[in-house]
Amino acid sequence: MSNLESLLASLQKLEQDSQNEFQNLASITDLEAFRVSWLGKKGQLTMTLKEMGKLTPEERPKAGQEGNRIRQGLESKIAEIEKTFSNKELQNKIEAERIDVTLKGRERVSRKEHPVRTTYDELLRIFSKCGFECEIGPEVEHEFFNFDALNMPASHPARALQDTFYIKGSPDVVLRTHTSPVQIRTMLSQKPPIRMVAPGRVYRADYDATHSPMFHQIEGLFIDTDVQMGHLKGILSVMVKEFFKTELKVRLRPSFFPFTEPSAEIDIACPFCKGETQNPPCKTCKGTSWIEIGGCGMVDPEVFKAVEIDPHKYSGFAFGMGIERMTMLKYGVNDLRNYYEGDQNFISQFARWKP
Amino acid sequence: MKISLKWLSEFIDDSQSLKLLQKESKAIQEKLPFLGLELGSVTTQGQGLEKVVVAEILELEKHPQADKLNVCRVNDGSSNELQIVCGAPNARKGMKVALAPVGAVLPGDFSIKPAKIRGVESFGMLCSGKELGLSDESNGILDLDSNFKVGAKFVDEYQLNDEIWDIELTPDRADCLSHLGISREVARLLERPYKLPEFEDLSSSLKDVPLFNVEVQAEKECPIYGAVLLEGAKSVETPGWMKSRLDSLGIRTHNALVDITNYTLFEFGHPLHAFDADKVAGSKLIIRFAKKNETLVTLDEEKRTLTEEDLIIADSEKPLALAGVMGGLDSSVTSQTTRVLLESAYFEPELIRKMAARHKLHSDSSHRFERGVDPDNIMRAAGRACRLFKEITGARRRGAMIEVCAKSAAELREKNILNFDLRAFHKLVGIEAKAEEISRIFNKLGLETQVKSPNVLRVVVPNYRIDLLREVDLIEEASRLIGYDKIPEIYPVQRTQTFSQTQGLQSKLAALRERILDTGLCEMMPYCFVSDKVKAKLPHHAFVELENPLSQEWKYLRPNLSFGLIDVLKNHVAMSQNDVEVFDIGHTFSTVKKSNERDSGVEEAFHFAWAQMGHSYPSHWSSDKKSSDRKHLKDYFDARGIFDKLQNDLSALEGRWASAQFLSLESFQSNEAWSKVLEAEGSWIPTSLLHPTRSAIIVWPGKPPGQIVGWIGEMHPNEKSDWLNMATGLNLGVVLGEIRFSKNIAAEMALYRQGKAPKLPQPYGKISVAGRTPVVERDIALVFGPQVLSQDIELTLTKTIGPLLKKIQCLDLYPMADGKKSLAYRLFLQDDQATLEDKTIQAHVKSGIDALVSKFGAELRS
Repeated sequence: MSNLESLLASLQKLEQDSQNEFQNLASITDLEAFRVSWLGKKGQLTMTLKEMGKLTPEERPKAGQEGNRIRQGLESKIAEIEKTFSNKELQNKIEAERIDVTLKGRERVSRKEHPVRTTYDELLRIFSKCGFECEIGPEVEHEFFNFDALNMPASHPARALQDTFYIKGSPDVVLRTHTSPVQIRTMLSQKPPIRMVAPGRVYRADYDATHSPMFHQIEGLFIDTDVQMGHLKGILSVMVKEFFKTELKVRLRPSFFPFTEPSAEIDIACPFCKGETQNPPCKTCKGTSWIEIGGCGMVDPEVFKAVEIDPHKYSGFAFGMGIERMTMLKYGVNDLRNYYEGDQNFISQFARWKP
Repeated sequence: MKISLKWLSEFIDDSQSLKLLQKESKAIQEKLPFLGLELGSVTTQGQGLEKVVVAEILELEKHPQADKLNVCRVNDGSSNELQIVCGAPNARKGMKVALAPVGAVLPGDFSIKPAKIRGVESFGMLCSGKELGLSDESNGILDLDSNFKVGAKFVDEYQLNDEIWDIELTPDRADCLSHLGISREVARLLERPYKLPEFEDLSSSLKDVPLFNVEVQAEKECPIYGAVLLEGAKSVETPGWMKSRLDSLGIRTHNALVDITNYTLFEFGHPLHAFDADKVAGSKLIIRFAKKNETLVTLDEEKRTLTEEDLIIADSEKPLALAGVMGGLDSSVTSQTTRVLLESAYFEPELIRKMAARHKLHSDSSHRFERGVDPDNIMRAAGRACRLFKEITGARRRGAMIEVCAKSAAELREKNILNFDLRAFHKLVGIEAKAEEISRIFNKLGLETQVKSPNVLRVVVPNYRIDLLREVDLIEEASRLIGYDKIPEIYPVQRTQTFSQTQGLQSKLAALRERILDTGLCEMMPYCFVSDKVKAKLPHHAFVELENPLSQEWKYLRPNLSFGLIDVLKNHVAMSQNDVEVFDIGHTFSTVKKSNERDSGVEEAFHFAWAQMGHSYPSHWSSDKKSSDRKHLKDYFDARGIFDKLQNDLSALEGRWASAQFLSLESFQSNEAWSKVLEAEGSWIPTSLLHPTRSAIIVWPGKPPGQIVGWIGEMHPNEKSDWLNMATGLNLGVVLGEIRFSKNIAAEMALYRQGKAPKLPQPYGKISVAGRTPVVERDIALVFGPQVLSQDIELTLTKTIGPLLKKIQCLDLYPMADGKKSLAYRLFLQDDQATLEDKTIQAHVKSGIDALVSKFGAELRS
């Protein structure tokens, strides 16, 4: 046997052997060992091909071709098996990583804003769209701003109706009973035309499920040379529509406030039963179909006098609403104490409804 | 004002007035609100008693098993006799009784069913007044009039068919504080005239010598005072019809004489007072102001010390009554009284209001006088009472009414002729109306009108409408009678461009709140009132105290927001909700000197505060089981994290927040001068509630210690159980913080109103371009002495390294055995313009380290 023949024969055997060994590879580690033992520097194929040195230059290409063919065959086979193995390994890993997708995620904090403040902001937004500017004022007021200038002189019985908190040692200082003093402050420092709203906290000495000693109001004032009661109706009905996102009738019902004449209570069609007869009667409106949301009227000439605005030249309307009241009507939470007694879980429910 | 429909019918001039009212009741109720009379409630008497019938006890015998029970045979008017077991001691044979048959449901949802009582069957119940909802107590079953018809409806026989309207009157409608007043309105709705009840004419000039004199020393406050003497009153029971009417309005009945004056009050709306003439010393009534410290025991048995501003009715010796408010006990009429001195007067509304307020005495009388009474009723009401006295007690009038008038009844009306201009009406309300239409409306109201020109009416207002003084008052009357629904709805065109003066401040506060909400803290609105317990914790704070607190727990206005939040935490602990993060934002109050006569003397600051309780990290199944994170309780650094986040935002609203610094609470408490500053400037900070070594005061740099603007800290371990009502053994981290955002919000508002508001920093002044250059992180670790503060280290690094240093993070804090501490920081460096070269980074980091070494003697850790 020539050198060539014997080399070709060992290459053939080698190919055969390696093919047989492939069957036994079970892992990527085995495969790596296989690669080293056949194709490595001291691998069987490499070692066998070293014997090409004994061949004649004519014989060498033939053996070289055969060696390369076997090498390439092995390499591609190894690559193929490697792919299978790594696919399998990935498969195993993915298999092992399976989770219960119904488990809860890591908590994130979310906004938890007070529903009364949501209403407060929402009303401000609506009135600002209607061209009203926002004004604010202090919560402790001298009687002049809270009463006197609003045509409620000391003898006025309406004062007694307001359950006023007085400050000890200062008989003429009160916790404001309404946001109306902001009207006075605005009219004293700014000349008409005036178009403003004043939201804020107010206080009355009364406490039960429907009365809180502390609550919020929003006040509106619109003064110009020819403002009339029809404009008041116009603004109120836009406000109600925007706030409740639905058409609700607005009704003015005669009433009395010292600072407005004519005066009216603002009623809206009950947002819960929409005025439809229900059995048992709707709890919110008690079957009357109407809900009172605030008071309003045309600014009384006495108020204009107190702030030195000429009542012959200017007229205006004013209105006031309870922010809690609007909140209750929107969300249906009727016991006021919920809003102040502080329960994180209660408050957390509301942010999702923020417009 | 409660109105009995039956009583009201007497004032409607119609032979069938009661029937008419009953028929129209619902329709009238619906129309009242549009007359400005709000109907609070309507009660129908006898409601729920429809099935109760009059029955007669035919026979009764002792219950075989029970001594106190009787077994009755009862005739209910049907052919069957009923067997009923009854426990009333007053049950007797032949008695007419109220029977609730099986199937009846009595007030209080008490349904009558067949029953077996101690083995004896019973079909129905014989009722007491209490069971029928007629009285509060009972002494056995109702013993009915023997003339009642057996089998008839109980409500018919007992005449329980009245309807009571509770009308909620606005303060201007003094004219409606009586049945007469309401009848004027109702008569108009029914289109019938109203009529006055019968009264004696007291002005008839009988030639008696007056047995009494009246001297009015305060003519302005009491322009008309009338008194009339009656003699020969017999001691009689108040007649049933009067009693039941007063009962139905919820008025307590006393004796005939008192009840008659009350009855007249609710008829005419004019308060009267009856003195026992035999208890009046001398023969003269004096209307005068009280002398200082004179006393009077009023009818409610309170001894009252009078002031020189109290108007009283006195005899020659002593005060007899607090004018217009309440009579004195000693001179009051009793069932033994035979001679009555009846007062009918007019008192100034303002005076009465002040007196009622001063003595905290609100009576039916003061309620009317302070709203203003119709002077025309002075004589009528007294005349009505005289007639009732005569009819009921037989008392005879001695002569005419002695009337002392500084002004005549007509003169008391300042102005009762007004002009009504249709153009003004249209301009203000938007309704176009013709003179005739308005005239017709006013005439119905009892206002006389005369058309002066096509656009102007002359209107004469009757005396009882004391609320109609100006043209605008008439405009209101006209518009409410035409109907507010006739006012057109017009959206005002925006002709005017105004700007808000406090808008800037308002939006600053709103922005602040938005930033706080971003942190995920839950917004709370606890009440603004605090107790003595809170006051005791802040001994240096000038609390604002309420004159009339609702309770002892709510005596003062809040000095800060923290105590309200502590209450919120406490509520959560009570509900076993231990992981809580809440905030509040709003005004706090302190007393200051008044700066002018319309100043409140109360300074309002604007604060925000937050409170955190429970665990630092939410538990999650995936977190490292060995990590202490799982159990980590909230501490100083949770609160600090909130502030650090907000500081950035705050400085956008107000630049100086960027330089806010932290000083330990200890450093204040151990320094006499500094603790004085804390007491003065931080009187609102509850230092004794805080953990002394784990709390900080936040200041703006300035003259040491700087200007106090807030604090954060852990709650003192000893205070938790007391303030949070925590169970022993419950270990919860509690941290709080509070920031004074504006020291004097009113002063700030004033600045805005004057256009002198501080300028906000340019919001978008320094925005770097979106980063195309990489951020480089370098960690450094050094050993420092125990006194070196992290704040100073970071400040030094920031200053030395300069604008390339974007952020510093403290990675590790490690106490060494020798008391020193090892601190590791991660520095984030970035050049906005170019990628940083390694040697530049090295140089900058080195400069930082060198500065720390030279400034604090720090040693670099290998």
